[in-house]
Amino acid sequence: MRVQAIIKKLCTTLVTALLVALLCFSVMFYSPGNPAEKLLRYKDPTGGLNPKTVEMYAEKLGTNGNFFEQFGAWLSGILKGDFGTSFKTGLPVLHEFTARAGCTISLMLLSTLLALVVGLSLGILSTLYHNKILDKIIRFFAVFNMSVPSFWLALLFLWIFSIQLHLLPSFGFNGFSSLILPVAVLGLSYSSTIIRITKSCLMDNLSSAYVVTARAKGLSESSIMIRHVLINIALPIITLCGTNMTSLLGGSVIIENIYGLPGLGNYLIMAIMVKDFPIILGFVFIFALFIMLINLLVDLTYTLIDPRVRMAMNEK
Amino acid sequence: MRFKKIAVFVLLAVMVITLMSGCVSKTSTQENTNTSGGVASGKNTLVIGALADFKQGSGKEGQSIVFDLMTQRSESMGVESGIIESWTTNADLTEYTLKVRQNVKFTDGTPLTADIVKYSLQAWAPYCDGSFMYSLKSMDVVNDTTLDVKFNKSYGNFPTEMTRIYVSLPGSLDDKGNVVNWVGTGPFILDDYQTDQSATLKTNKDYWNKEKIPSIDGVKWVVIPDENARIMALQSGQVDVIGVAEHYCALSYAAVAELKKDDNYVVDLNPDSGLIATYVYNYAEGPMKDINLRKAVTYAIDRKTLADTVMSGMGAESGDFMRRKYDFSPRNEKEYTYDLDAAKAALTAGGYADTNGDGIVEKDGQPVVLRFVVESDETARATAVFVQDCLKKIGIDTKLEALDDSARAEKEKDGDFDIAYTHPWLTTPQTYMAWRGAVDTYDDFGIGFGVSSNFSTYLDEVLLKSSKDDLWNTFDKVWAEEYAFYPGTGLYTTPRVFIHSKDVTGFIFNPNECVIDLSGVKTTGSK
Repeated sequence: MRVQAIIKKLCTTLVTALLVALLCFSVMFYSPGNPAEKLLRYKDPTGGLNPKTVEMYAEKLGTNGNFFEQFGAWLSGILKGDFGTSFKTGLPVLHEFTARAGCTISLMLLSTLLALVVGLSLGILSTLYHNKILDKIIRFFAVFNMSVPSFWLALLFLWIFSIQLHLLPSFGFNGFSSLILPVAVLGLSYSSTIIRITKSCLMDNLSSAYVVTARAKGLSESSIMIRHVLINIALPIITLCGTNMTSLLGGSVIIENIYGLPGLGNYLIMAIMVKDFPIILGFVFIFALFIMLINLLVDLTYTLIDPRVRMAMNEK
Repeated sequence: MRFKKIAVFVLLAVMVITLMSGCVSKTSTQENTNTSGGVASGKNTLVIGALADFKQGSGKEGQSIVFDLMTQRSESMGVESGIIESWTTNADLTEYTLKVRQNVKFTDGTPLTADIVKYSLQAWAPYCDGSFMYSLKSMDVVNDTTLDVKFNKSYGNFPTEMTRIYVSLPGSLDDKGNVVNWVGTGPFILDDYQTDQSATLKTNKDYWNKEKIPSIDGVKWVVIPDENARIMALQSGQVDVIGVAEHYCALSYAAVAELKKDDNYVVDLNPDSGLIATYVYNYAEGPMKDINLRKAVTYAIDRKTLADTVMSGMGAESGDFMRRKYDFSPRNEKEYTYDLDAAKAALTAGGYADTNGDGIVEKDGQPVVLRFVVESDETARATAVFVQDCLKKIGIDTKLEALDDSARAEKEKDGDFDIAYTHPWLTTPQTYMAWRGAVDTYDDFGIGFGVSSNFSTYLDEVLLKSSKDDLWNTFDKVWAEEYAFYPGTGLYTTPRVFIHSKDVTGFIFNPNECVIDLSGVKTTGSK
């Protein structure tokens, strides 16, 4: 992919992220609730709320301006690299992001990796043992995984591995062991689709002419699978992985809640509840950038794996 | 070519790993390492499973174990000394002389002075319902232990408002009211903090209040937002207690009832104190302007069955606005009760009748359909559905809307309701009067309880008077008018719940629901 195309994509990414932030701000601004009131109520939920205090606080927060004033102030900050500070905590938005991003990104990458490993392995096995008992078991596993809500699976794993067997911690983010259960839940949940896509693509490819030719040339089945067929089914699987990663980036709020993980999703929900505009805008903007970046990486991977895509790009 | 592909892949992988490792930051802050106190680790540490973060959760519970309040609430919701050891006032309650407790030090060694009290009163007031600041004329430091406070008008509620204000070092709050310096005078010292995960505190063995020095070595506050996970953490022994960190019951009452049956755990309830879940009627406009309809709705609700079913027996029925054990509560009034005959009689007296046999009463040819607005949480919805059913029995139809908090608040502010969830009367009714008890305007909890023009006079009397007898007399008049007017109704008491293992004993329910009192806690097991 040419450098100019990448630069053009990055510029489009930036503009899209700003538009997403604008849309998000519009929804928050016009939705019911006054940020100053909500935050004061949050700080003191059992007390009264003097209207003069609300007015004073709105002025401090800068939320008594109109739509354009408030968004304009945020935008001018962004252009200087200043994401502002959280209304709720007073800490810089970037600090709040980086304090939680590690957990969410770790969860995202490890879950996607597990989903890929499990999905590909079981998809290949299911294909090789098509219509045998193993295939039926794997297909049942895939359907079961897709049907069962992830929060139920999370609680089940928690009960078995943490409460009954005392093997793993049940909450917190303290090293790799605390990620095992949430990664297992998310990885298994996302593996189902990969299993089905892998099997479907393999079934198509294994009956195609180039595989017959490879067999005729005397290549082993494993060699055919690894060196030829898997490469050809890589594109849809990479696309699926990219989609999974973007959905996990927002954080799996329910999983973070259940396992007490300090992730981005849960924090963003709390920020939305109190209308913490700098956090909402900052996070949404960063998410949009990340998602575009993931899509860009997926596109780059396409060009690396598939020479047809590379040639088509070059011709363009 | 192949080498190029491999190189690009490696480069991408390095970028991703770098990004990931750069973002992984356990935001752990070491605080207060140069202080006295025990070590918050080992066998005598209490592990609390909490719904929210220690610093960023609402309700100020975390603050209550690091900082001290200016004044304290007594069991009857009166005011006792705290950091302010005593106070005197002039006859018209426009001047107060506050005596600051002596020999109190912050955990970094800074002695407490009147200057610091002055800073704290001014800094914390906007974020702690400190309405006194709007009537403040001056605040002058006389000496290290004396502060003179003058108001522009009589302000009898000042000592009560101080029960919500903490004392902290200058600069401890930023300009938006967030605590940035966690050095306090309280029973615990914040030692370590991890955002959204945990906080570790050690006991302040030099705490000025010798009777309240905790016998435990420290506390570990762990964040477990999910209710089921929190219960499982208790069941697996990873936490010692749940419920302590919240000023309300953050578990479903059904779950509490289940745990109560389990002999391995102790469920502490405080049935005698706290708030009463309350509905308010839109008595200013719409069908609920009619007192007969308000009476009918009030008497139609079977509060006992409601408490037994929705609250799983954890709460108790109550037709009051405020618990009678507290100062200035409705001592002379008869609480509202379930009385179907009285409900039907009220409807008849109001000219409501089911003329067309469809089960819904009409008046002037219009069926009675009430707009019913509540919160969307499980208990609120279940309560509303139960009440809906009760009203159906006397021929009143309702259109129920269970909304998220923001949407509910906006609807109630607009007066777009006939029956709605409201904020219960606070346990210091003076504060509630000052907030919304004396007005009949709409706000995010419906309509105020100022049901007549007399209430502005009552409010002036409340703010003016400081003697208990005078306040009782004023509130007797307040409650007499309220109960006769039927502006709303109490439903059931909402107890706080602590659930802990048998290895831990001695939990205390502080009269201030946002204060965690661990002074009596003893741990017997190992961690």
